[in-house]
Amino acid sequence: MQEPVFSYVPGTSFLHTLDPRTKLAAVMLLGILVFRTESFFGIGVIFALFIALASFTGLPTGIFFRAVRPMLLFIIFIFLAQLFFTEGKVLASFWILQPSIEGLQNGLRLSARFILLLLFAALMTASTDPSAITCGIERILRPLPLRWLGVNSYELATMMNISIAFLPLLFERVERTKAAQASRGMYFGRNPFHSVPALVIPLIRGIVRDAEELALAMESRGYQGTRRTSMHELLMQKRDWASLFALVFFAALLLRF
Amino acid sequence: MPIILENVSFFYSKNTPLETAALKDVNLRIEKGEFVGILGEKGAGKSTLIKLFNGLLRPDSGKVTVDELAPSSKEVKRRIGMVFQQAADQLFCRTVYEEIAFGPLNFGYSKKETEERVFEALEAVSFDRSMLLRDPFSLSGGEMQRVALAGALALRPEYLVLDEPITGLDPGGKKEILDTLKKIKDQGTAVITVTHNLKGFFPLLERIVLIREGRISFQGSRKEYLETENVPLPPVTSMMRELKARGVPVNPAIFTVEEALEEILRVKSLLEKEKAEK
Ligand SMILES: Nc1ncnc2c1ncn2[C@@H]1O[C@H](COP(=O)(O)OP(=O)(O)O)[C@@H](O)[C@H]1O
Ligand SMILES: [Mg+2]
Repeated sequence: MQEPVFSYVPGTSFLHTLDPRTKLAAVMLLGILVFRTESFFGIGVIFALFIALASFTGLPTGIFFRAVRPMLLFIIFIFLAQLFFTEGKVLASFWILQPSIEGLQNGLRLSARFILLLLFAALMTASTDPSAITCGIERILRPLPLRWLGVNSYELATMMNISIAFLPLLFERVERTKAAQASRGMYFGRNPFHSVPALVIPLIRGIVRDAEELALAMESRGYQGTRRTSMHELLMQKRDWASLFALVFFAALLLRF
Repeated sequence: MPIILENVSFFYSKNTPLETAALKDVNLRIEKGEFVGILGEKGAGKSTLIKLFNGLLRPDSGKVTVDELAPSSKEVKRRIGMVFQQAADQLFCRTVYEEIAFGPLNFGYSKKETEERVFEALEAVSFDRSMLLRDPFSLSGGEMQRVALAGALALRPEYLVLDEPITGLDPGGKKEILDTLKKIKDQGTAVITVTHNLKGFFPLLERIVLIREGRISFQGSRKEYLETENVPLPPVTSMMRELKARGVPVNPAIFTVEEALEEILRVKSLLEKEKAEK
């Protein structure tokens, strides 16, 4: 079995016991911080924070690699785009490509940011029961006037949660379709008009079919999209407020640098 | 000229903390025209093994050759037809015709040649011409699987490799696929199938390869397999073995319910005759 990306690893660490809302807020805050931090020193400090939290939690290192791997191509693409399309002092010249020093710095910074974001997201999902995440999102969304949009906070939370859970299945499906088409002699990259439909159509069909089946399965188990009474209503504890405070303090300190 | 694997090992995510040794030191030889079953538990490495045949995966050590060619060559993709379990994951055309023609067109055959091959493949999977204009997505699971099979056959492969081709099909769909595979084998194409459905496949298999945790733990004829301890067997064969162990003088080398019935009736009349003689 291929291990799923962004999966939950049960445990009893400090992070595991935090309220899901604390962790959601922390990930958002860290996301802002990561994209606000310009210096490599600052990014290094945030990375150190990640290492500290991760080792503290005792999660297997594998899950973090798995979180980054599916996005690796995207990250490399971003890196290269920055490298070659940023104006600045030219490093070297290959044909029409002229990587610049500024481009190298921008590229490194931007890819480090995306990687950090993925790592913190993985840290949250690994230390939080998925149903608790749904609960947390739902509680955060509850005050919003979502009714106007024809959805309620519980529906939206469930939707977000399912999307996360389905991601790994999607990657698996892509691999399967690629193998099947390559076996019929298709070469990717030679003619996109030819190869893109051969990949995308089975993919979309598969997703639609999965979604229909999931909807039926959910309905037959009593899901109606309305807010249900939760088994345990969430409660913010002292340690949640303390953690959030510590994080805000850390962010403020780092941004002052 | 066969498919040969020499000391092949394969790792997923090599040199990362996620490294998984999927195949370890595999030696295997598959001859033309054989019907081979690749058995093993989930995660044993069966799907990984067959993806090495046509170059979808490359071994980390050891060597794979197909009729003395490197598996990454395009010619090997033509000689080895591959069909995966989820036929729906490969269908994308609007008609069955286009779907079957996809392979031959990729290989640059002319329109006329392609058409000939499509008709031939269609017949091999026992569909009639009215099928050609149908929408592949409107078909049943078994029918989709046959379209996928026809798509592979349209390349006139020398080896047909299948990954769990009948898993998840209804009994009718299963039987259709099994009958088709038997016919294909009788026409001289080697059929290599990954399966854990021993009930359906065992009567067809000539040679068996059993994989355990990435290693080949058995490889030989069906007869040799039956003489081996601790291997998975079709339920009816296990039952016949048990009957024999409990003193009923049956022949345990039996793979289908029909054969079992016949054998038990034979023994019954034998015993009755003995009794009468006493
Ligand atoms: N894409 C992949 N990435 C990482 N590990 C994989 C991948 N595919 C399979 N594996 C691992 O390789 C081993 C063999 O898998 P597989 O060949 O699919 O087994 P089988 O087909 O016999 O069920 C398993 O341990 C599985 O977890
Ligand atoms: Mg498999």
